[in-house]
Amino acid sequence: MFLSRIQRALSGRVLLREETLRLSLATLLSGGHLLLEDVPGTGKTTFAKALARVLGLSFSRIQMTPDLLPQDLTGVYFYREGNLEWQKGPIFSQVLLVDELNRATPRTQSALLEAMGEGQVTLEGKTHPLPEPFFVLATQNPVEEEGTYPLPVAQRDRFTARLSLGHPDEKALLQALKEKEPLEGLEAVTQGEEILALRQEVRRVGVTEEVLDYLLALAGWLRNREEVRLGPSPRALLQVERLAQALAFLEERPFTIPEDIKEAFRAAIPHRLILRLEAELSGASPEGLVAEALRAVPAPVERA
Amino acid sequence: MLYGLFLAAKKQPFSSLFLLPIALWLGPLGLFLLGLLHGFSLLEEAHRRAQERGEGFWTPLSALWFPGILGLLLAGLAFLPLPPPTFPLPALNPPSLQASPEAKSHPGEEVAYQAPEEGFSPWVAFLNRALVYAQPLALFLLLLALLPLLGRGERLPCRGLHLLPLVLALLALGLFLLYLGTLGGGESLLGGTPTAPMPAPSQENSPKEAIPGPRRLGEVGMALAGLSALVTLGLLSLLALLVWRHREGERPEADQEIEAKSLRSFREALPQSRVRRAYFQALKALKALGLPRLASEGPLEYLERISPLLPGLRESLSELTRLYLPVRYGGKAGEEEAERAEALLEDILRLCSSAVSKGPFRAGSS
Repeated sequence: MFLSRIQRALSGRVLLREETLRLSLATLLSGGHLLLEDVPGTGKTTFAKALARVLGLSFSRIQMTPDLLPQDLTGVYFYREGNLEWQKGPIFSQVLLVDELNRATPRTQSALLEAMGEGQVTLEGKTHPLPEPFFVLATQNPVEEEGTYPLPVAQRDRFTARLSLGHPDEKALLQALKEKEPLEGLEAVTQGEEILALRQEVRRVGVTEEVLDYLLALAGWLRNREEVRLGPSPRALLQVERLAQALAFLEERPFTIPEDIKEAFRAAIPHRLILRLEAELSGASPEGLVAEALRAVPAPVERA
Repeated sequence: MLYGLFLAAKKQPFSSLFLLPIALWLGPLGLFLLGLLHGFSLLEEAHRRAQERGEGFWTPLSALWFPGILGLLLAGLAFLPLPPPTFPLPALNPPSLQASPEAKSHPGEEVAYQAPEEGFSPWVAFLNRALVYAQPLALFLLLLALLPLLGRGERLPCRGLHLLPLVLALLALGLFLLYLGTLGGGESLLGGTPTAPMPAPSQENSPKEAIPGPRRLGEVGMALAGLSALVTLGLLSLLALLVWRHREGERPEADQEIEAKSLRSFREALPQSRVRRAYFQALKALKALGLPRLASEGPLEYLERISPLLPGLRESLSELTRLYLPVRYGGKAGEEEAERAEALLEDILRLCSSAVSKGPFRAGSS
């Protein structure tokens, strides 16, 4: 119901596949953050803006550059007429689009850690809570290597899912070409309070022990692979579970099924895996290993 | 013998082989006991193997004849023309508590005669009586106690504990015979009951010589034998108590088993089980059709994969999958869902059989 409402609102406005929208909304409802990885010009910024607008949330965008400082994100204290005044940074919004995250220095990247993990920012010893719901959509460009700083593991682990928007099909592309102003006339179909309430609903979606065992088996399979230097962290597994719950919720199911776990695992794990150098050189990829795990581990279903 | 007892404690039937010499030495009674032990060992072995296979092993009452007959057969061996036992068995008369009249009439032989005029001291007399009555009683109880102990050796606090009374009873018997033997040596001087010559020092000496008789030895032997018999009885009582307590402890287990069985049958009748069974049967039918579900496939993925291959089945299988999902992953189903799932299964089986007649699918033929 929630999904179809958003789908209807965004229909024909953004170049988006259905599963991408589903996973994005599931990430939002699971309380996580999303990493969009794609080549330039695939509509990442438009998607983020459109999503913020239909969700009725405040939106801000930061373009990361190597000379950007953490204060440019969080805000600064400045002296005015004998008083210290605080100027809020762009991070104080509900939907934050961080463009080309890997262009910023690790110092600036890490300014996002506290905000993403705990929903707060500490400045001059004072903690400022961020508005709720707080949802970070970060993009990174996988093509350009010059002048980029790869995200540290801790930073990547903060992102619940990584998605690629991919190239739209011809029909959607034609629609996009016809649409001169895609965001014009977009109206909010929900609001922050509803999203917060839905997040509570998501937590109530049932996950049976055998489904959790399945998730653990998948993680164990990856950890035992020679190619993997760093397997999925416990935080990653918690986020997979929550994401699977959100996916089930979007399908209006009060319980999760192995397919939810699979979809969540596919979206949430590859960007956290660190492979051995030899494995990378021999052509192994995190996505390939995850796909292999999903093919190798038996799902908890009746066996005939 | 010790190795034989060790094997017997381990419930190895061929322990009888090692216990055979002592059984021969003991004569018919020993062979009878050995036969019983061997029979029980065999039954226990059968019980153990049945347990390993997970089968129930109920010993019918008629099977208990087996050790008895085996014991009698073995005891019958004693009547075969085998070489006589080296140890001559005296008549098993209760040892006299009174000095014999011969002792009074031949005061010079008082030294050779073992029983004192005033009789044995009261404690020896008591133990003597205990021996006379307790020994056969102990053996009888031992046989009775072995019956309920059948197959319970491993459940007792100490493995093989139930064989301890047997060992003690044998010890008591041995000591008793030793006592009689020594006493017989003394009596033989007076032309007493033992007819067989004793290979005792007393036999080598002339009857007129004053022999330091084994009175002290006899007293101690008899006392020890009586004591062993009493300890055997005590142990048997303790063992019976232990077994009784174990049986008390086992009752809840048995009740639990019954509960588990009834719970299983109850669960099988539950709507959830019926829906799951219907889905399982459908998977089996589709597998037989050449469309097995891959181990890593979820129910929806499987449905998506095979639906284009079997358009006729699509609707039924889709609905059955929809009924199955909440049951398997949400734990909910009502009577209606179960009935619907069974009806859908019938449809699927019918459609599968008609599809089979058209020709089997091959896995991955899409």
